[in-house]
Amino acid sequence: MTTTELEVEGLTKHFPVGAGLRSRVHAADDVSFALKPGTITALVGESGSGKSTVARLIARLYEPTSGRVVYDGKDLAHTRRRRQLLRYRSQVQMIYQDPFSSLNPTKTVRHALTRPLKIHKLHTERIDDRVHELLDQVGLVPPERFAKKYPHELSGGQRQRVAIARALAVEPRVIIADEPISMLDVSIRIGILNLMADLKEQNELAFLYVTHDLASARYVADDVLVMYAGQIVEQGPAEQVLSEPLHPYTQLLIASVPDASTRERAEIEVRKGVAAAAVDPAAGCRFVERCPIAIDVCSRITPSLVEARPRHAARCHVNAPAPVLREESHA
Amino acid sequence: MIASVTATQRTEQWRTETLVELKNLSVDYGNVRAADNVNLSIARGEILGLAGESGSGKSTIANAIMQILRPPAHITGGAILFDGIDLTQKSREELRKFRWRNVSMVFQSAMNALNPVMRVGDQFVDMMRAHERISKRAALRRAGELLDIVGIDQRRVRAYPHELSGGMRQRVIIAMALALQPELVIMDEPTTALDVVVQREILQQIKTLQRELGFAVLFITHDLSLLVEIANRIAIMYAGEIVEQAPAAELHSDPLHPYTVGLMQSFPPLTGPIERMAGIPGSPPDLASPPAGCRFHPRCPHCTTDNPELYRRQTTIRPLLREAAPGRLVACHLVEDQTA
Repeated sequence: MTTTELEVEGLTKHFPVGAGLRSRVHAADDVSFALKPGTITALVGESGSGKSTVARLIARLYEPTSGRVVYDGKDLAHTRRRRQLLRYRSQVQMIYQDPFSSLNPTKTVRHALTRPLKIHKLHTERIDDRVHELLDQVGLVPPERFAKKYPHELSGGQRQRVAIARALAVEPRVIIADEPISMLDVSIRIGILNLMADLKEQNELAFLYVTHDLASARYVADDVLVMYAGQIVEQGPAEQVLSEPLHPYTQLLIASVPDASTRERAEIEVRKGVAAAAVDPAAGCRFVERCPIAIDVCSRITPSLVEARPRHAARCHVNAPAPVLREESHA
Repeated sequence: MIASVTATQRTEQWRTETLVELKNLSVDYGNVRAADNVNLSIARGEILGLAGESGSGKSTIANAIMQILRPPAHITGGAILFDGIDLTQKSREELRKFRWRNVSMVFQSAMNALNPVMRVGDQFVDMMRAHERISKRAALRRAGELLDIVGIDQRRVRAYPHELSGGMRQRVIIAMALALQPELVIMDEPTTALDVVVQREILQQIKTLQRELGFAVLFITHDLSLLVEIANRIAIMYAGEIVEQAPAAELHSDPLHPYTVGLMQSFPPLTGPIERMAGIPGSPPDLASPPAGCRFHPRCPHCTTDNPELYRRQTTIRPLLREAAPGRLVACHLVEDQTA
């Protein structure tokens, strides 16, 4: 019995930018986490925080600058062996944000679902049964009718369900869902989240749910990873991270989310400073410019992820000080 | 303290005075009716929230008030009264003067509407000089003051749009919308393309400015939880119709229309217990062939054959927007039966 399906270790991706491409954006910096079967892990952050880069690194759409993506005991981040990659890609599937552009408009739903089966040579004997089974699983009933439809005959939510069915076709162990609901109508978003939760239970899948929507992360995820400027700044059980956040950035995010239940809310402090801190970052905390509780050490030493509470870690000198620093301050 | 009390009283007074009134407004796109028989009023100094899913007709309403509907869209019936005067009867030249001076608009992608090869300040000058006799120098000074109001350094009048972040560009547009002190600012998903922290900052600013300057806001978004926070009153649109209208707090605590109830069930909370939510089954109808009767009936949990008489009405007769309680309007056969 494995407790980890896929592990990411020190994953780092730098992109060259600026005049003469001499600068580097640290889109992902030393990112480590594990995806467990039957668990949804949410990766949250604002645009430019690096969350989609991490998703694409895992899906092997990018090759990392350094670090490892370990699946089944093997590092797949740098492999170029076709067969190994093909197998990996059948085990780790991706769902994209835009269900309008991720399906071929000239092909039927049946075609979209049989392609992966043919490429990976699965169920070749009873392809139609498998297609119907998949449509059934994602709630597109009656499957016979939906199999014949073209993408333009489907609503956004139905298209996203087809995209999920396509990902499920090859019986993956891991699904990377990059903002799967943000382009859908609000009334059908919950349906997709519920589907993810059901699939997690039934198929023991490991989900990485990439999103900017904290409330949906809390609703569906077991664990949460918060990214800021290319780094994971906080991680832990979803409910705990969102109810008792340690990192000031997580606190700012939570205070910013519109929430109908708090009509009279405290105003957030508007601080100048933008999330562009990932270009050639100097030593020190990347949030220091915007941080209301920064101390002297924050602009000098880069904080590491410290487990301040059981299973709950943050990258913050103040709220999650490293043991060594803690001793110093007591001395 | 006394000053603030009188200010509130003044605002209260304003809010009873109607600024804009839509009367039986219908807008067609070719043979598709995007807004159907819409009645809606906006009072002076109030923030009216308009919520609905994509394709429900909320932007059509905004464009109709601004009189910027383009073919194939055209108004097929009804009137848009602004201060009692019907906008649909105005000439082009009258409308050109009316826009920005009386009503201005901030779009979702407005930050991309700035001219990329013109300094921000010059774009203010252009707009102001199109509407009033003002020297370049005075207009630039006003531009600086306006930027200051929305929290941007005055010196940025010399900046080009690409030198500003998305949030700052959106603030520039808001400043521009306020430049001629219009009575109404239409904000169509003004913060949807922005990150949550930036969204929060801009919402705070909009609220503060609105309190200080007293303009009315028509705030359009699909994000109901955001509206409950910012708006005084909320109107809910579904498939081209307004199905419910209520003060924001009441809509949140006691939604009456099953669609509103479903929408409330579609936003997971950030605090409190996590329960499995239902959302709304099915998807919004195709407006080219909307369902007969109540347009929401195919998705409505209360539309069953258990009550044949009610079912017949739900599937054949369009419910009218009626007063269910003081200040609360609902278009629903079920609510009608309960309040009758």
